[in-house]
Amino acid sequence: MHIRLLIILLLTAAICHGQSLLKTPVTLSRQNGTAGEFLDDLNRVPGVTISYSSAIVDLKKNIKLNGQEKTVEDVLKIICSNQPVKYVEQNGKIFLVTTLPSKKKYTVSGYISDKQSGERLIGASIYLPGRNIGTTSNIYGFYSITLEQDTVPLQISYAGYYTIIAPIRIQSDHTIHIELEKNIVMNEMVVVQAAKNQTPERTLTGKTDINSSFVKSVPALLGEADVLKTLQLLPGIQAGSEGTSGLNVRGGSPDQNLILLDGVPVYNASHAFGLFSIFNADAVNNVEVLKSGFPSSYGGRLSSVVDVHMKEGDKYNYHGEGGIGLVFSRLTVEGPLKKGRSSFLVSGRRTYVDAFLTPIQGINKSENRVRPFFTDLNIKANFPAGSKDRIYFSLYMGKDRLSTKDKYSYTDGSTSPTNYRDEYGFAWGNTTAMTRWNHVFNKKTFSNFTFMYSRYRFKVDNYYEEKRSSPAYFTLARNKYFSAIRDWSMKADFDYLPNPNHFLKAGASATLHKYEPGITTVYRNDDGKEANAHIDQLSTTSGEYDAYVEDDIRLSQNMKTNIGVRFSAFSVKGKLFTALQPRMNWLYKLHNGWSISASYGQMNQFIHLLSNTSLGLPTDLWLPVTKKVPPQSSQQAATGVSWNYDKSLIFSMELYYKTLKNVIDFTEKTVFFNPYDNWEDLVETGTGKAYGMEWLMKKQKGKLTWLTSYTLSKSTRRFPTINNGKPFPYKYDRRHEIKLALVWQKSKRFEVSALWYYSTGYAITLASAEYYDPYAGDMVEIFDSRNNFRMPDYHRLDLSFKFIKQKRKYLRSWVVSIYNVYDRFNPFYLLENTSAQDDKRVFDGISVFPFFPSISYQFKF
Amino acid sequence: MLFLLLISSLSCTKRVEIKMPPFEDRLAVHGYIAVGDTFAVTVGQTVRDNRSGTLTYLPNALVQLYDQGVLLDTLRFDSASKYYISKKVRAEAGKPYTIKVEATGFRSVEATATGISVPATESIKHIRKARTSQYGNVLDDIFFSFHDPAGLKNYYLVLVHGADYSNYLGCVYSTDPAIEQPRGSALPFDDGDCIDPESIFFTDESFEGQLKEISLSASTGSMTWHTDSRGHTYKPYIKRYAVSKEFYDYYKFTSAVRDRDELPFITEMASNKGNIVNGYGLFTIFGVITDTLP
Repeated sequence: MHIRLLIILLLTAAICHGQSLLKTPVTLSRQNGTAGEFLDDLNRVPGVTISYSSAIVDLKKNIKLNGQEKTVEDVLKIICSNQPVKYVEQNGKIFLVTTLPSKKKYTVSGYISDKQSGERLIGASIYLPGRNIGTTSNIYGFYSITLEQDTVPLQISYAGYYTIIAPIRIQSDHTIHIELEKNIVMNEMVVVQAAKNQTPERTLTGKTDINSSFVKSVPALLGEADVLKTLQLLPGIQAGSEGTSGLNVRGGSPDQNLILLDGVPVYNASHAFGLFSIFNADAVNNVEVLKSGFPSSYGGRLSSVVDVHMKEGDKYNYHGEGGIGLVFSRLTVEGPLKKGRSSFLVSGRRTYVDAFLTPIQGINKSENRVRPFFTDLNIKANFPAGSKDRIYFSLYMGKDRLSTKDKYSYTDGSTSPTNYRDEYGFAWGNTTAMTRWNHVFNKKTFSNFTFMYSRYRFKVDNYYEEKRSSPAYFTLARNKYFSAIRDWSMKADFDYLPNPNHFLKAGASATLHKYEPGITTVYRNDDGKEANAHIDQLSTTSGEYDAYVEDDIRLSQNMKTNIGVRFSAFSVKGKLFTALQPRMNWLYKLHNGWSISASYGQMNQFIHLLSNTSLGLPTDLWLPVTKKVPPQSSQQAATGVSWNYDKSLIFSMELYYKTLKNVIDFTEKTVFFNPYDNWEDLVETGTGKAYGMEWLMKKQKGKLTWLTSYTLSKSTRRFPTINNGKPFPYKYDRRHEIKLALVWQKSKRFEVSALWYYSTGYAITLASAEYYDPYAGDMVEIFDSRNNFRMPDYHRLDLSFKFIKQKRKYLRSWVVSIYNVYDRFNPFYLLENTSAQDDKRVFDGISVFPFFPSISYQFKF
Repeated sequence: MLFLLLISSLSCTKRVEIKMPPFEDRLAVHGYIAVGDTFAVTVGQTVRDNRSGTLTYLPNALVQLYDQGVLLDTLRFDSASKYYISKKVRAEAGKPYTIKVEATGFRSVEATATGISVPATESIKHIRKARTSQYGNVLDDIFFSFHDPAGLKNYYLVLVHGADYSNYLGCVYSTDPAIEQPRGSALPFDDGDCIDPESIFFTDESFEGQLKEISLSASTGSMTWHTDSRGHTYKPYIKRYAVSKEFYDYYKFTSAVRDRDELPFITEMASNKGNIVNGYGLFTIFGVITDTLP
């Protein structure tokens, strides 16, 4: 029988106790009665909650006590005697469950969503407390659990939402869509959600989820919340250069991060040379970060997966939020397309530095006018296409542009003035588009078909003109440089949940990459004589094909594993590269909230990022592997232990060891890419090694929530000819890292947050000494080895104060942020050395981010 | 741009002390000898800090030249030129020479180099106003060919000198993939495909043992014969060197070090090149041919 139910239930949230409920002393007024009467009596005992169903317990059964019963357990033993029922205490409640094996099994499935907005909830827990089994919703909010015919209490929970416990009578397959209500109690604020449920699913090695409220709570540079920079607070994830949004995960380089925007890979996830990420925090729903233990559904990069899920839009009400800051303003609007069924979201940002500069430069009559800006736009929509289908559209367009204009005249008096005009502009940006079709094949099988497009491009446009009337002279030169990578992808994913002990996932994808790593066009006109040139030496295409299968297996009540394998094939210029990548993740839940986990995985990467800088400049080029520069690969083993107290205080510790193969670096000759180079000759492939230990502790309930982490790590690289073949520290090898983030919600109207960050200085290659070369006529610096010096230790404190007020129609906040409160001088780079002594060298250091206060205005309606 | 604005508007400069790893000062020896020339080398030392501007020639070193263990000469210090000079030994092609240097307070150093002969020029051609560069400059094409000796890995360096001594020849261009592109830019059009006319490097990897023709393009203005007011005519010419691998690597390295000064925060250097055992510098014997352009 097909039944569709809609359950909207409110708080019956579990309350945890420090001691066993079963041992609670009882004094009952009667000795004789029915089981139902005694259960009612027990439920009246303060602090005791017993959940049962008349379908399981014979409530009319006569019970006779002998007067020796002193605790709840003593009474329950008698109630349960002579009937197929047992009692189980879990999460501050006692459940009476059947002991009879059921013959038939039925499947309960549906979607879990936010009651207010209809937003699908990713990773919500569906759990049977009495039986200690459960599952979680997938990234589209879909869940499915197959159970024996019975009446069972189903507990549905999600961090930051009220938990629902509802008895479900399972006599047939059910479709149950569940809506959870946000917990607006102030002391239930969620900082970072991970390891949050009773089931062990959410405590896998190397995995962390971050929600947008945390991103918006921590202090940020220029007061602008940033998703990728927030990830830098997690242990094992390091920033590159200060202030930038690049990620170096467990000794990996920035190109080894698979950054997904609604499942679509993004090639350059930053604006303004890395100062801001492309993800608008207002439009972000959830960010899933994986540092190890990668499920086989992910592939293509070595070091991490950053899966950013944008909001789908409110299905019931129109509302929005935005902000006005020093750098940019932003606005997000969402609402129903058809109430309760479909929704949209539009979110945009734009800087206005150019708007300020234009009048200033006009007033100053500047000959050289600079116009920088960036902007981005997210558009999303989703709607049902039948009872089993849902269609999603997602579009992202982002652009950075910097242009300079220079106009001036000059004459030496012998001719009429020559007018010069010089314009230089470069622009870069991503465009991603995605159409997704969710289809529920049956109660146990969920499918997802996705069509994706991703483009990253970089353009330089240079225009130069000289014009003179007497004697007449005219020259014009226009040069354009263009580089891009474009992907067209098709992907099919299937989730199959045969029973609560298995969650099978399988899928396949095909991607056509098109690389245009450097196209130059040149036009010249000298007094009417024209010249044209077009240089395009490296444009090429490649095909990438992947297939995966994985199974989340519950080995016992407290033990589970995820085993999978991914097969990848990459075809370029007639050559086929293949890789079989086994993955494994294991977890065992001990008593008292402790659990241990271990993982192993192999990853492959078929595209290289050719970058001559460590800054993540837009000029960095993505290029396919070749015979000479083969695919990168990694192997990582990790193990960890975690402890979860009352879903409030969480501690985790992880050890990892990672090896990298075929990583690239420029050879000792310092050169940059240009269209005439054969890039393969400029790089060398080598190996890398990274290992370390990460501690994380966080408190995510109460007025004061915090997160602190410490990382002890080492990361090295080795290349045959670089550094004489000896291993050397990776640039962002930082031995120690300490991070502390605090959020104190004093009241509904005032919030303070603080962030303190400390790390060992990153490695840098500096000359140890120098000598004079009389033939070159210059001093030659001596570089003993690559990355032989350390920058000074880095640390800073940031503060943020949020003043919140509920106006009649909207909520407004003023956010005052202070970056680098104690004005720590953290050098961004070093200029020429000024002196040297026995054991130290003195440089002129340039710091870019001193003490910097900022203010922003935010609103929500 | 925001980044650049931030750097310019917010950045501040301060003295930063960086802890130095231990470093032992060593001798720096340089000897660039053309086949047929007498030996002349300089001896200096490494310094931690050259802010004083003092050049570090050492006048009291013992510098001796050997031919396969047989002492050929002890070089004498010339205080005027600061070179240690041999007045009697001339470098010969195909012959290995070892230089040994001792100086008080330093480890003894030595280096061995073999004289390299340069293959003769087979042809040379100069075509005026052959093309226009991407920046609109009118360029001459220069072609020269030679027969690469077989069975050896050969390294070449070419220097192009313009005719007009007062007009520095800024760039030469070539699409020949054999030629190294020793410079470039973080952004296109800053340097583009400009090759330093005094750093045209190539190896015989793609033409080993074959007749090789190299084509270069250079500014027409600089390639035009020039006669000064005294009637002296200046002609463009090229110098073609056959050099050792050590020379090749060392020259590229020192070029890279100089380039690095322009963008210190984004470029990375690695260990030094050279062939001085226990020290720094280069001792090399090369062959060179000069061809005036027609």
